[in-house]
Amino acid sequence: MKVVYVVLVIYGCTLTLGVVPGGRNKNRGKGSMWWGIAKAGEPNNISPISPVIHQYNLPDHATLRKKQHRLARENPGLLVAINKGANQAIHECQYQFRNQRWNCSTKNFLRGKNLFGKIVDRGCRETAFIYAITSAAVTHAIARACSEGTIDTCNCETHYKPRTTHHYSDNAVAATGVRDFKWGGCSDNIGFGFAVSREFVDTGERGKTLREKMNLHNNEAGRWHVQQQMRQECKCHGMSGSCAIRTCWMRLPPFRVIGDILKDRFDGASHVTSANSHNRNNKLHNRGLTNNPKFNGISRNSIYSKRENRRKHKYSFQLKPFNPEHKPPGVQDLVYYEMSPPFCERKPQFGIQGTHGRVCNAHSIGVDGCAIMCCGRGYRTHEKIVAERCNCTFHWCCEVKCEICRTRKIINTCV
Amino acid sequence: MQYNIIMHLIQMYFSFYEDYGDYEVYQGNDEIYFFDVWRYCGLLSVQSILPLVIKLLVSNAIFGIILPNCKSESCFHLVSGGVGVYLISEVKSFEGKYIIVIYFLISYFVLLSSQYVGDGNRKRLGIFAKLALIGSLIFSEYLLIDPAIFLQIRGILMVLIMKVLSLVDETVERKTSIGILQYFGYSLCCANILFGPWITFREYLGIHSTRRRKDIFWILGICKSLILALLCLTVSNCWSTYLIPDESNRWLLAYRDALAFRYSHYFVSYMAESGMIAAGFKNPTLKDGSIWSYTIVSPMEVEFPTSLSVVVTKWNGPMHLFLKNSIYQPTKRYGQFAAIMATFLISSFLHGLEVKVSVVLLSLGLFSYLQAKARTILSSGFSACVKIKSCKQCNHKYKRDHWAVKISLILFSFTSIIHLAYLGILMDPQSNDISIYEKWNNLYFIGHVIMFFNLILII
Repeated sequence: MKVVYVVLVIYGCTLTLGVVPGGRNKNRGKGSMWWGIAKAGEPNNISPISPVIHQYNLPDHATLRKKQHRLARENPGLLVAINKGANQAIHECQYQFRNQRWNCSTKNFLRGKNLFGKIVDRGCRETAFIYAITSAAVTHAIARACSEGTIDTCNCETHYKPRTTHHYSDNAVAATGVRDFKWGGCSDNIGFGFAVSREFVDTGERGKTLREKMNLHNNEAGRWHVQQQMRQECKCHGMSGSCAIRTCWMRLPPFRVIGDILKDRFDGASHVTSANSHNRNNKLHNRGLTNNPKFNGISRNSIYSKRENRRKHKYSFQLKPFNPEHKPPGVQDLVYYEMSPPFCERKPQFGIQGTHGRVCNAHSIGVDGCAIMCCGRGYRTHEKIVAERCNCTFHWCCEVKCEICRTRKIINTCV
Repeated sequence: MQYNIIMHLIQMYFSFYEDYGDYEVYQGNDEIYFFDVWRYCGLLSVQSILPLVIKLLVSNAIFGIILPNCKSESCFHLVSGGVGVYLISEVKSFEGKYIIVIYFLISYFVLLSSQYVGDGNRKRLGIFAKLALIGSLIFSEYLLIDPAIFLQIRGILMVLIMKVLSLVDETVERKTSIGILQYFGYSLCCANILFGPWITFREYLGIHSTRRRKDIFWILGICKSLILALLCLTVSNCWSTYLIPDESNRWLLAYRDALAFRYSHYFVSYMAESGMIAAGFKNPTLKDGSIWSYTIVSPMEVEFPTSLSVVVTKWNGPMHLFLKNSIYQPTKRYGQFAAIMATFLISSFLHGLEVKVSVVLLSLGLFSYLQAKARTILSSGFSACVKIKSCKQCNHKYKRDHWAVKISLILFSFTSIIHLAYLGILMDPQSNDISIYEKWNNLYFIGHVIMFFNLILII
């Protein structure tokens, strides 16, 4: 009996190592390739390219799909905005997770899908956040680019008329509400950002497998939060609260606000399960890191959605909560279906960097504290001389002159 | 002192940079955000009102320039009313225009009929006419037209009705009749048909008889109030939210919402002022110097009030004058409290008896009365100079420069600010769906608590 068990474990390990690279694409959905745009313009170890992104001459290493190419061609300036958005997403993600074991590290890989490492292969919280923040950042960047005038096609565009495919029961009104507005001609920037982000970001996700549904849901959640934050606001002015003049403006919060909101949603993300494989998933979660993504009932789920009309019902699914007593996730929630790996040890085959050498805070009992960050391995303390700006004087107007001081700082790093 | 604080902030800013060196670009967000607010909120807000503002100012300026060339009085009335009609045509809804015209006609018949009534009944008719006019305003708001449309024309109707009410006094009590042209020119006067303020008939005739020369100071006066108006608009729409973000505590948020409402009012008042100046009106108290101004609101005295009654009087000078002359003075014989409440009641009727406006106005009347009363009692009890108006020849033991008096004055000033925030949140148009009770409950009914303390002081 023991022998059989050992054999099974060995078999399981080899299967994991062997199969994961092959099964990856299938599992994560095909919508993540465009992330490579973020690194467009940076010298790449294989094909150094010029730092300027031309209108739609996209470097090959951010493999875009046909539809994405078409969108880029039809909307000059779009790719620049998406590039900006993708970088903003990376920065924001790294800022939000600067104190956590997983610090949203990115790699300048050849292909976009590997931008955030192999963590994306798992349907865990971190992946949910990555999808949401990238889609949110793209929406944000496009809307911004529209109001700055760097994308000409936003204004008065007819083929991005709001589509009512947004079938989330409780938020359908909210999602379409913004796009119903018209003011100052037809500069409906947020609506455009939303629509294009859907077309561009969601293009590879068909919404058939659980993973694809998760991606679609998280993408949609990211966009939804942007739309909630970036909205047109109007106000009346007149004698004692009457409405003689109506003024309208755009509320455009810094992306940090959206990052904060998504981080909150990350902390309270909903654990979902595929509709008819509840028991199977249950078992899988107990297996931790070594479970094989191929087994988790995704293919089964796709059978049931095949009959659906792809265009019409892409967003009209309802994910089931893992715990049947919980509320089903709403449009604002991030969803995941796999548990996060511990992120403590370095595991390159899963794209985990580990926390070795990470800076930690010895006096904190939170996630950035050495106790948690270093996973109980302990930390090293060393002194470092840091150059800082100091004795700054303010010269009217408007210049700040500083000296450079060298101070000693104690830095703790995980073993 | 201030310099040190700035230096400290700068150092903090830079040390923040150092801590998260990698995220430097995104820490600089604040500055970017400032320009974002300016570009997407400030500029867009100004842009969205610019067409109307230009129309208002240009047509009034044309009126102001034509005016000295109008030799006959009827020419003056015709131009004034004609431009007013043009401005009214700016009202978006058809029903709105319709209602204004109906009011214009009805009011004239009321005025006309008062001339054919015997002397004995005139006074009674005057009161009846006033009540009928105010009643019809409420009738039309609740039964005749859509509340949203009424909201658009409420300001116009208010000014129109206030003018008619003062004309009723003029014709009924002083037995002067008024011609249709005079009525047309005065009631639809282009300078104040859109944003007010109410002016007396005499004042209106005054600009024709004085014929002030329009010079460079005239243009400067228009520009000054226009710039102030736009500034207040951006404060109301943008900077208030920028300075006090949504995550602040409830008191700051209440203060912010009230501040946004106050600045919206300053915007309207300064717009009205620039329109009035463009048409050639000047402060009645101002001597005919080179300065062109027409004070409607005094923002500094409202923002940092010494007492609530100062707010009431400085909020809208002309309207205050109107209420004082035509309601407060006649009802004063029934006692001060009754007169104040009657004034605020009529004022809320003029505002169309909208629930929140009425609640705000009546509470304001109550709060300011109790505050004034409490201060009078304190003043006589401690022989201290803490009354609303600083007494010049009082024989109080403690004058205004005594420290205890100063502290209590600051305290009263502070409670006035709280009262303003407490009442102002009701007027915030963006949270109309939240009930009054809920809003006040959120602030622990602080305004009523203060009122209660004042009440205890009085008893």
